[in-house]
Amino acid sequence: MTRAISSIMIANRGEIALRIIRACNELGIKSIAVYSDEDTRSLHVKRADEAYYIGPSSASESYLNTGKIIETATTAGADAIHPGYGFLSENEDFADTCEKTGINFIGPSSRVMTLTGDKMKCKALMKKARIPVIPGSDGNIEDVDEAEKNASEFGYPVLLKSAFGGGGRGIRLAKDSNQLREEFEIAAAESRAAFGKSAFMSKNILKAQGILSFNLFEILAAIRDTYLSGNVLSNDDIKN
Amino acid sequence: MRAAETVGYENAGTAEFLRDKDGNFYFIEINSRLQVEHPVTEVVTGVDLVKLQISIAQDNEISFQQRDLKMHGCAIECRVNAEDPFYDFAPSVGIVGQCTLPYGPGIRVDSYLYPGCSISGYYDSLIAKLISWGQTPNEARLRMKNALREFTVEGINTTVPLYETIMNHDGFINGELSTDYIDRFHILDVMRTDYREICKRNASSAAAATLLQSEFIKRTGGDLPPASKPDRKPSTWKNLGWISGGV
Repeated sequence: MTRAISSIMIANRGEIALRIIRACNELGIKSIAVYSDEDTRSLHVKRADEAYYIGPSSASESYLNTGKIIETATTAGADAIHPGYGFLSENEDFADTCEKTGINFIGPSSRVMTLTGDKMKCKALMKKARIPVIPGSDGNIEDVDEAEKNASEFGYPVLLKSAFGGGGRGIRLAKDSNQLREEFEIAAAESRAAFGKSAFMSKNILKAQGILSFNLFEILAAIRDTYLSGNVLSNDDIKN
Repeated sequence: MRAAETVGYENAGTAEFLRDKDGNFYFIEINSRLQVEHPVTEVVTGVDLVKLQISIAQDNEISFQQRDLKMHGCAIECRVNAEDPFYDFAPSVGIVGQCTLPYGPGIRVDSYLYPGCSISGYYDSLIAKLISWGQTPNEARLRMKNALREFTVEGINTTVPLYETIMNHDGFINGELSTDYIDRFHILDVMRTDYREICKRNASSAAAATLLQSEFIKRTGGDLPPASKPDRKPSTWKNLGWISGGV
């Protein structure tokens, strides 16, 4: 059973909206842009096949406005929504609403996003699967005193990382407890503004002083009924 | 792969790991979305991840297996943000005047810039992604250097000076990368020093251009000059003047 897609609404802006419009053009799929007051003259609005106004400039009233976006997708007759990255891309409630409205959400299912979106739950699962996880707090940290208690157990420096969202947002380094208190408040505010949630996980920086390097593994996997077929693309060490 | 199986993952996503100095990997998180840096994967594998996402959403089988994927060469992505790296990465907003995006072998630019476009303070500060590809890491680095030099945008500040410093930095060239790379090598200080040199050069070239122009007007009364055909290497001073628009 395939679910044909003939039109995609792009619930995003900027370069990623343009990237998705290009893919739609190649596939012969109608691209539908959305825009806020601030983006009236933006390139993604000009390049898409159709464009719909979704509200004021503030993201919470436009690109994060789930109700308005779903309503617009329905009006426009979009078969699918591509969330890009940021905004609603890792919002399981949004994915769930799409599924229930009969709109094909381009991304993992809301069930999977609930698991991966909560970094703590995800870490616990990985631990169970015997994948080595970075040492850190066992649950989300809601207030600064708890964060301090955790950090002193691990030893400074620690990294504060928002339990929601990614893309480098909400990651803060604290070298001592004073800095921890300061950074905690800043990061909490940032997280609330971007994702409407402020829970944190703090994690220990491995004491390997400056020899850590980021490695990204792009994962592509497809579930077919009960059978799992998967593909992993690995970006080997950046320098190799 | 096991990480993806554990949560029953479908469609594109990214698992992030940290590697310590002994080569041990530690899981951090899964990003259940297209990665901002997805072009890096695309240019080294030749796979179009966005089209693949759409195909998976249509319940199509993925047409290749893991073993079919071959990686070619090396890629670097610079996320150009509308931020001022000289002032604690303060957001820089406003109307863009002229802008020039880089071209050339192994260069890809994902951007929404155009002359006259507006950079808003309401959203993420990412304005362009420069991606360079090369047969070797060094070729990718040199191409990125070219791209950064060609990239100009008037009216706002960007993080380009920082990336120019990094592309020239021995620590980066030797692959001494880590989460504290910027602090460990005092990269922001290096950037300031680099920038002072560029400013000195620009000041000299502006002075040279003004001089050449006034000499020219004195000599000709302002008529159009014949195309200059220097038959020997011009002096650095004259060169700087020509580059900056002197005649």
